[in-house]
Amino acid sequence: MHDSTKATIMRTILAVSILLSIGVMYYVYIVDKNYDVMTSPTGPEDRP
Amino acid sequence: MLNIVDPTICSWSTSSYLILSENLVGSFQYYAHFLPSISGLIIAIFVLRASVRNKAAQALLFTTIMFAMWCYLDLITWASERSDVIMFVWSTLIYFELLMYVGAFYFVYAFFNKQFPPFKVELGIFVMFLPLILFGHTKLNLINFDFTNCLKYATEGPLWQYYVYGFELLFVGLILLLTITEVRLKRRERRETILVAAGILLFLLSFSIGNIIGSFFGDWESGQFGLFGMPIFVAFLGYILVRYQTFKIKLLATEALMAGQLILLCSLLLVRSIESAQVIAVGTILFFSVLGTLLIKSVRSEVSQREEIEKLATNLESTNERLRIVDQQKSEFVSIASHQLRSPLTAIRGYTSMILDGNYGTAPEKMNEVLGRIHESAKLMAFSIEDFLNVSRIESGNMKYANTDFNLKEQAEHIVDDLRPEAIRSGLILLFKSDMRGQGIVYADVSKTQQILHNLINNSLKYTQKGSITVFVYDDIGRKKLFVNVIDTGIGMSPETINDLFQKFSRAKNANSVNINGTGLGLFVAREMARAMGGDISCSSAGEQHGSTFVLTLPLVA
Repeated sequence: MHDSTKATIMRTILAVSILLSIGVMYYVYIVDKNYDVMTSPTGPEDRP
Repeated sequence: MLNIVDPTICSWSTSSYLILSENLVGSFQYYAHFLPSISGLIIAIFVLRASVRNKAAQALLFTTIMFAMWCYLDLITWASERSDVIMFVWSTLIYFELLMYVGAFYFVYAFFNKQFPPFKVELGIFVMFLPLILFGHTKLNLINFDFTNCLKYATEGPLWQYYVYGFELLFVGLILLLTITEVRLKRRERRETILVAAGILLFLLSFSIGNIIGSFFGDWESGQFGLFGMPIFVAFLGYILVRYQTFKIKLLATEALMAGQLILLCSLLLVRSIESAQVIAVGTILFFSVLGTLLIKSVRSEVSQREEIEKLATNLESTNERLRIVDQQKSEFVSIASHQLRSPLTAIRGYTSMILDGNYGTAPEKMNEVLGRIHESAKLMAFSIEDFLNVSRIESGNMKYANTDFNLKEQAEHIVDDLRPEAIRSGLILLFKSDMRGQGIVYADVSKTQQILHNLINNSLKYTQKGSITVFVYDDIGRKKLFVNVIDTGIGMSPETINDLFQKFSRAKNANSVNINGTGLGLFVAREMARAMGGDISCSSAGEQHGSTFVLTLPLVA
């Protein structure tokens, strides 16, 4: 397979992987809200 | 979890369309984000439009798009009052930031090498993204949302602080290495190489330093200044486009200066507070002082080049006029000299002919022989003078043509009959053939046409030592042309000789091998006359010693 074809396939896989990863981040932070929040002075609050 | 800001604790207003919020109005953030991203996109689109297939232009556009996306997402983290939105957007910034550095590396590589990096390098870059893809949603990326003292920051984890910033500095190092290699290879002007590298490195380093200050010291306000590396890179690129006409763009320095001025002045609309406007004005003045000086030098150089070109054009015009006068004087000289020579020659030929005819009594045989040679030489000289006169008449536009309808096939046949005895004396066969659909009537000057045919057939007789000469006349009713082909089995010609054959004073290189005398003007005169009568002469040959074919073409009437 030509190098340019291999490069095109690889870039496509990378783009798809990044989009999937962003999708996972969306689920974790927006949908599931799975993150810690730090407020003072008593320390970080647990996840809801 | 506090998702919406508690108005009794922190006064964060709601952002509309994600980035429009009173939190940012009048502040520095819009100016710091919009000016760099828009200026970068404008120059990248401008460059790509000029050279769509250029790999460096494509990489530049990719880089500026990633930077513009980063700026837009970063503005959301500044403007939004929602912790979940800030966390999500902040986590995605990791991709756009690293892709920006990858794009910048591709830009420099393609600028120097006119192609993208090899597959193995691309594979390495792909592998580099794997930790981000696998752990980007975990605490390795963002540890928590810091809402202490009404801050709205995400705390960056080791994936940011060590992995991403480490790779950013690695790309900066790789670009530096590419630059040093390119300077050593000397494939382009050294200054151009250094300017391109300096521009992109200033942009990347200022961006990295701004983010590192924010990430390690929590001072994200100061980190905004890191974005101004992009307009600095745009200024470098603008200078390179003007000075070196990179990407084959011919951009005038004044146009670049005006475009830059417009962008910077319009961007002042993005700030409201006087203090911010003062800071921006100072920065703009400094920016323009440096850029303006560089561009004005370039304008001066362009203006002086144009003046030089205008001077050269004027000199060229006066030289052309002088040459035209000299050419005219030369033609007049040739004409006068030829006329002066013709008169005595006429006397020589006339008297020698009369003596040879016995008008002055019977001359001794030896004297007859000598007189015969004098007569023959005078005749040849007269022909040469006639050639010079014809050239002079043609060049001065005084050659007259008495065009009438006549039968060229019959004329050609008569000329062949007249020259056949001479051919026989030379041991050659002179043939006449025809293939006519019409009558063979052409519209031309009879005597000039006879002169041309005599010239072509005589040339064939001179340059053929053995074999035959065929005169073939045929017509093409559809194209309304009549063709007279003179085909010989003579010494032939090379392609180089054919190219120069119809030039003045040009003779075949192998002409001397058959000891032929000639002025080299016969074919020039013949073709000029043929063209003046609406026709042409062409020639072809299979090569030296393989004969030649001359074709006279004239417009057919019937």
